[in-house]
Amino acid sequence: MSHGGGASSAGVEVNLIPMIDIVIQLITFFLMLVNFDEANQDERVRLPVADLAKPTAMDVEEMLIWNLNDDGRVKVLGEPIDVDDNAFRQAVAREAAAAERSMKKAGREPKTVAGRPQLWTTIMIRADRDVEYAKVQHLIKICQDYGFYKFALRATPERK
Amino acid sequence: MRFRKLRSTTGDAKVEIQMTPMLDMIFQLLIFFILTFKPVTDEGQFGVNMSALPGGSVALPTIVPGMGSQDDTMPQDIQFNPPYRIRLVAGPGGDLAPGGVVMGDHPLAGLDQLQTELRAIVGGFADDFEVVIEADPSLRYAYLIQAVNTISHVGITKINFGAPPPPQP
Repeated sequence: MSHGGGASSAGVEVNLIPMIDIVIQLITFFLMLVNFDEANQDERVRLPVADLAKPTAMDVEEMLIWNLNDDGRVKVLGEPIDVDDNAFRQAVAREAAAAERSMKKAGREPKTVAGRPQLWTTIMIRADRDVEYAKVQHLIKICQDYGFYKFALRATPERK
Repeated sequence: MRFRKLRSTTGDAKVEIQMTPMLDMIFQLLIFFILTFKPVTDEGQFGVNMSALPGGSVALPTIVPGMGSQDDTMPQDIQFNPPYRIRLVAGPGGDLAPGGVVMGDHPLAGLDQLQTELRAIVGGFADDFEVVIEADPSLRYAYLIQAVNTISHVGITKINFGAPPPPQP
């Protein structure tokens, strides 16, 4: 009985193996292209255009990205805070303290220049092209006040 | 004997693997990756090294970057050529004012002319020159990056940012 039932159910057999091969290749392709870097990038920030800003590898030990949008707010832990706000200064202070701790943990005693420890973190500034220069300048000034001195100004080589 | 027969029958029987649940999962994964796919955006950067000058400085105000230099020591201020001052004047709405690029005391037509002028001054010794950009606070950031880009085209890598002079009454 069971023999007969089995034979009737096995009608037309579709060979699924080639399809599965292709689909798994597609998955692998998309998996490879997942860019985890973009978690730090705010898509609403439209970067300024500069053809010399090539995506070259920079010698960066530690990196901290500040996304500055067109009305002068920086996203700190998902919350936009005005650069001129005291809360932003506190956030930079926290980051500076963390950077100093991690430098010490790595056995690198930060040098002190003008009473400020020189931190190894590079501040990556992703500022909107329409933001006022004063806001960018203020952001840099606050970071300098807490000992950051390596900065990078992000731009895109092509117009979007 | 019976045992052997049993073994032979199970050996001949086709083992059917249930493909449907696996296919379901694979297609779900595929759809997830297709929907979250975003081509990598091209982003570059201008590296800037901005140590605050110890003791302060009259000539160069608070922000003192030196591009491209990855030197951890103090910034080198001693040089033979005094830095060229380039002022960017903002017009209404934060745009660059007409004739808003001023090199020293000479107003220029725009950034293209700045590039030509700088190229003529610098010649082949771009490394010896330094430029201080003094931009109005209300200027849009895009124009500042354009200016940095223009100056970098000439080959000058020492670019500082300075505070603009106080507005004339």
